[in-house]
Amino acid sequence: MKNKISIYFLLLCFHILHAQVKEPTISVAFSDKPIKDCFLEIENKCKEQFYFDSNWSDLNQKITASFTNEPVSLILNTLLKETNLNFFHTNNTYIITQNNFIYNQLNTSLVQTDSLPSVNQSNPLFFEKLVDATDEKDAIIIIGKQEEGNIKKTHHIEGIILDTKTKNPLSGVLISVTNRNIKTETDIDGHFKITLPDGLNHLEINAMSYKKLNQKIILKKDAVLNFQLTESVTLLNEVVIERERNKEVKEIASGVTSFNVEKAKSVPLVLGERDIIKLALALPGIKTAGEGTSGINVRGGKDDQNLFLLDNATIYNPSHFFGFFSSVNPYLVNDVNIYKGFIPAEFGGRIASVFEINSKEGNYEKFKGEGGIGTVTSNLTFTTPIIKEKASLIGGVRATYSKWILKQIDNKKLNKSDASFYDAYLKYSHKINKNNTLETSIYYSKDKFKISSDSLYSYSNTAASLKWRHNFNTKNIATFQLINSNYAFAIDYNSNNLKSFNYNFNINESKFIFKNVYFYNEKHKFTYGLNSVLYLLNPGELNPNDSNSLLTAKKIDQEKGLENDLFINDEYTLNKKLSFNLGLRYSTFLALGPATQTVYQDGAPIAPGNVKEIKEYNNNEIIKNYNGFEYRFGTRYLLSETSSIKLAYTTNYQYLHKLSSNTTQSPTDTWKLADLNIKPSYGQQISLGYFKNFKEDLYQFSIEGYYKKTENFLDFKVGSDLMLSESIETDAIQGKGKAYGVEFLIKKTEGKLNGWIGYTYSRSLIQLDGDTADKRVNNGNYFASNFDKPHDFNAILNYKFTQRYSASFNFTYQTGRPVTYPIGSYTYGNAQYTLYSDRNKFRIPDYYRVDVGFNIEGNHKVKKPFHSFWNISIYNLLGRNNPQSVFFVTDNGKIKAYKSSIFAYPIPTITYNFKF
Amino acid sequence: MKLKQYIVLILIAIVSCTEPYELQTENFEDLLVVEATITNEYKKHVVKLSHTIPLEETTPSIEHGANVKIISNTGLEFHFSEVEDQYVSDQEFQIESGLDYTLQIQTSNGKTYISTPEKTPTAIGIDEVNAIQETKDTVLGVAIKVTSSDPSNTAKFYRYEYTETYKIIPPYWSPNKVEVNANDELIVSPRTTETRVCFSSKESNSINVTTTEDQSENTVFNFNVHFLSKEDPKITNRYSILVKQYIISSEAYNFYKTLKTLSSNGSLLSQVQPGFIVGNITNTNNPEEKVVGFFEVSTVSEKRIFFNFDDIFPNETSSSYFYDCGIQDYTSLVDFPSPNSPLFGGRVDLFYFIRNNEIVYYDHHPTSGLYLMVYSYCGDCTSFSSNVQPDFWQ
Repeated sequence: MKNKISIYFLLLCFHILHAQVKEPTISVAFSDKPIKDCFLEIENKCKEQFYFDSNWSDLNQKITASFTNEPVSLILNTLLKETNLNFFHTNNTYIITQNNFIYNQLNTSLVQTDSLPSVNQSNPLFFEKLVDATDEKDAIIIIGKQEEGNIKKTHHIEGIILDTKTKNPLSGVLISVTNRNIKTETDIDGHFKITLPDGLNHLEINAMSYKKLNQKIILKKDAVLNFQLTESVTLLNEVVIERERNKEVKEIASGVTSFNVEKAKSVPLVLGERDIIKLALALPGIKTAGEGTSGINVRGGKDDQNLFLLDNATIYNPSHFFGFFSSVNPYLVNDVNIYKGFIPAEFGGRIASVFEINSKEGNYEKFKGEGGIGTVTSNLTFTTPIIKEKASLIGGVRATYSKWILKQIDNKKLNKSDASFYDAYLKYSHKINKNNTLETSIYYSKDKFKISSDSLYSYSNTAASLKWRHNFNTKNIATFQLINSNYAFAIDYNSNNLKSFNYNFNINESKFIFKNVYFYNEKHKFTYGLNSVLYLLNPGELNPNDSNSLLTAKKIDQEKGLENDLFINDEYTLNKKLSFNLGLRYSTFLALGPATQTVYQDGAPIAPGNVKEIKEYNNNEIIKNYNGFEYRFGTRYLLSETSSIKLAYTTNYQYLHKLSSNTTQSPTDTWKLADLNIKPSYGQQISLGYFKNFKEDLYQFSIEGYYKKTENFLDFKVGSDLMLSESIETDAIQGKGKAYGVEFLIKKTEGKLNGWIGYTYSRSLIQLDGDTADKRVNNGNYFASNFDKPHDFNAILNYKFTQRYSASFNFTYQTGRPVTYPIGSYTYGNAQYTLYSDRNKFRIPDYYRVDVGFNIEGNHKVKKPFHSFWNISIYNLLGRNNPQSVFFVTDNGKIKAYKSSIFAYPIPTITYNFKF
Repeated sequence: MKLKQYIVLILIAIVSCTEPYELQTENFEDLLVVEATITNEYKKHVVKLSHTIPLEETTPSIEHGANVKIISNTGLEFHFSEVEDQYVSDQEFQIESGLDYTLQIQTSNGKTYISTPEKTPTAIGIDEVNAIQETKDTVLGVAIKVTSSDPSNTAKFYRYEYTETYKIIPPYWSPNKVEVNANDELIVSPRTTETRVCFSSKESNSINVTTTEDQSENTVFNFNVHFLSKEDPKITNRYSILVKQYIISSEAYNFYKTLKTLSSNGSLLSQVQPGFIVGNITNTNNPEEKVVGFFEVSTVSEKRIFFNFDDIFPNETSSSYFYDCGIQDYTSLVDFPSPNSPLFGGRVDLFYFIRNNEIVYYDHHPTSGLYLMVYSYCGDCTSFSSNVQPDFWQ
């Protein structure tokens, strides 16, 4: 029974016919025999196959009866009279089904009892079929009946695909009609809809790490069909990635990239970790601010404009060790969806992108684990059932011993230094019943680094979540979630007693999410809900560590803000070719007291000298209310089965800004909420793409163009000093930005050689034209932003020599980013000063890097206690000395330029990965 | 501010390997630098015009042959003429309250520049200047503090300059001097000019600005203008400081503050956003042309204080001096050493150094009769200072 798959068919408002109604007749006698054994006996006698789940308790009922030359159906009717079981006969097969759930809205008038001899009319029509996944002799399911006047040539099937064990919807499951080249796949909520022509259809349901399911269907009416898939248990080589065909072509939204973690396996990555966030950086449109910085720039957006969600919890600093590692353990990640163009209405709060990271589902069946031991990091993840088939736990820890890294970095200052990080994640899922699932998770990540013996820097992300998933009915699936996430950093400095201090920053958000997915009909799928976020932000606190300290304690008042958003999204299929994604989000933000705010004179620039008054606000008093509609529009037109064009328009508000005056993100950058004087940012993007797949998806090609406008992002005037500043607004310039680009991507999805090549030409320009001279940068003209890198080329190629040996290759090239240079000096007030160029007038040298990696898999015996593979990677194979930043130092009155680079020579790593 | 710099240094340090990087001097831009301050002092005011220079050069490049004038909104015109690398007003004048002033420049290459009209700020006097014993960054010393209040509540931005003047007494002064006469003889005679007591003056060269805007009371209270360590030789004897307080506009304040932030970040500039600091002067034909500097119209008031070392550190004395001093023995002519003696050559050196005024007479060794000589800066203050007592000295 283990190797059998169960399928549930829910048949609503349609008919079922037997394909073959030739009934065998047999003679048989049972005396006090369990039904289970009766079946086997009948099976023997009539030479037809029985499918059932031996775990059903009804099958243990004992029967005493005898039959002589009776049709099997009559025998079965008698056997099953006192049970919840039904049967269904087709194609030399008897399928025993158990009436176990849900459906009471059956339109009984349409059920033809004569064709369904064993089904109680008042019961929902529901079939469970247990077939071997590889069984070619599948039954044919006939749905509906040829009726006069029913001349529709095509019919829709719609339904949800669930995991047999967890009853959770499965997204991205491919449903293809193999004899007709029709495909679709399930959306995030496991829902699918497919249009099938009259006649026989070979349905193939295919999901990664689930057993493939084949079903022949004759469809004569529209139907709702729900499937359940069983997790594949043959894990010989788990990376059998059956591609989701034409997904790129058919997805309605443009600028959406989905990654399943298994895909990341064969990419050579920094310091031995396979990391999908890193992998995402190799896609067109996504760039890092520089090696060794944690900032990511998406389509010309600032690095604070990306929303990182781990199971909906905001992660403010998604990286460890200056961006070399992502702060979420890659072993725990199931998939990542990156929205860089169209952003669904359920997400908001950042204007450039959303990185939706979904963790893996725990195993309800048995204990499993996975881990890696490498030269830099080690990690271990495990999953175990708590209550079999009802509750499971998944968790993971990861840590580094990065002394090794620091030794690789050629810097004598680092002898006394130390850096380490770790992260841990634990998730408990409980299926209360078929309609209710409870999930709770905690996440913690911590980075510490020490440069000299007297200073300690640390930062941490924390997230805790409680999620309740409730199916109101088949058409309404709701999620309620409470989340608290926190980001904090601290500096502890103990150089000598008189100057020692500690400095702290933290931002905390408490979020409530209600989301309902409503499958209205085959044309409309609505997602609506609300999102509330309470922000509490401590901008900074400095305390002397010693009572004799010369420093005085300083604390900037806490900031408080409440964001409320209502959203609705409709996935609307107008016809086979044209689909829309229509979203609307109403977003409000209240800056709340207690606070002290500077009021500037009306109409006068925000500058020292124009202060009208200092205003005090009481607790929860509204300082300022910002609100507005956000529009999310996406459409897709299928030019053919393998090509499409997509158009998207997205607008967004962002109510918090990161304060960083330098060009690269550092963990000590603080955040600032919108307030009386600092406005929220606003972004608009329009994108257009063409997608084409060739040769049965073997090659995928896409070209996407975008144009983006942003307003009121935060930049800073020359000489700004932001740490512990009480009046950020006097240093801040709320600028305008425009970005545009065109992104090319060619992928080869399968074969010995696979991978992708991406190229982006893009520009990101900003205008800082404040209302005072010092807030006008470069005469108020548009100029290249810090992250304007016009040319960006990436190639990721994998080559599989044999099943056990594979190699990968990664090449990255990008234009050097803009910098502000000293271009001369002058004498002023008896002293010598440096003259700087216009902002970002020059560029640091171009960046390029080559990495290679080799994977050596263990042998492929199925019965091994655990599976393992070795990974050997070399980062920066060419030893290219890529400048990370160029900076200038005045030394004895002379200006000297220095460039700093992270890894100026090849870095090899070895990692041993195992699974049990 | 210190804190932030420190952090950045460390951040850079941990992740990176740093190496010198060739500065691209071809990026050099030749810009006009204007340094002009006019005040309510009745005097000949000065405008300095120069050009930016490439990073590897140190000699300032002066703008010669320019036409400089300042006009008021009431039509008053003050012309400036070039005198010794700077432009000095032809007549003495002072700014008047209620008027706006504009600086106009025509450079030798024909370009014309104009400043924004600058208002005359309220004139505020300094209430007091105090010298107070204080420890700053673990260093014991004396802080010069200014207190100033503005009952009219109009002056909010302050800039400070100072001139310090201090008495210098060399530690090895002798009433006698030694000279080499025409016959190559050493002659010891009493000094005829003042070489024991001198006075030096030094002007501040750092930017010192403050604002009262973020305060409820419009008072500058004990603002630190200057700090001298206890070991500073300037305060060994008597010390005087003249503090000048300029009332400036908010734009001028921003300009100076930014200039200071960018420059004081001496060790590492990458964290503070670098860039061109916009002043208030533009090219009339090409507003995009960058001009360095700020035309400042300010009211000035000043206050001078004096103190002795033991006023600040009672019952203590200081022996700090500007140079390390020591006594050297030299033989006289009579004791001309043999060529094998380690002292051979002493005579030549002695004569040479005396003639070049590098060493001066301090004393004779009481027993050996050797000449005890000291470096001239240890025995004769005029070698590096002035023996003229300033008029204001008391």
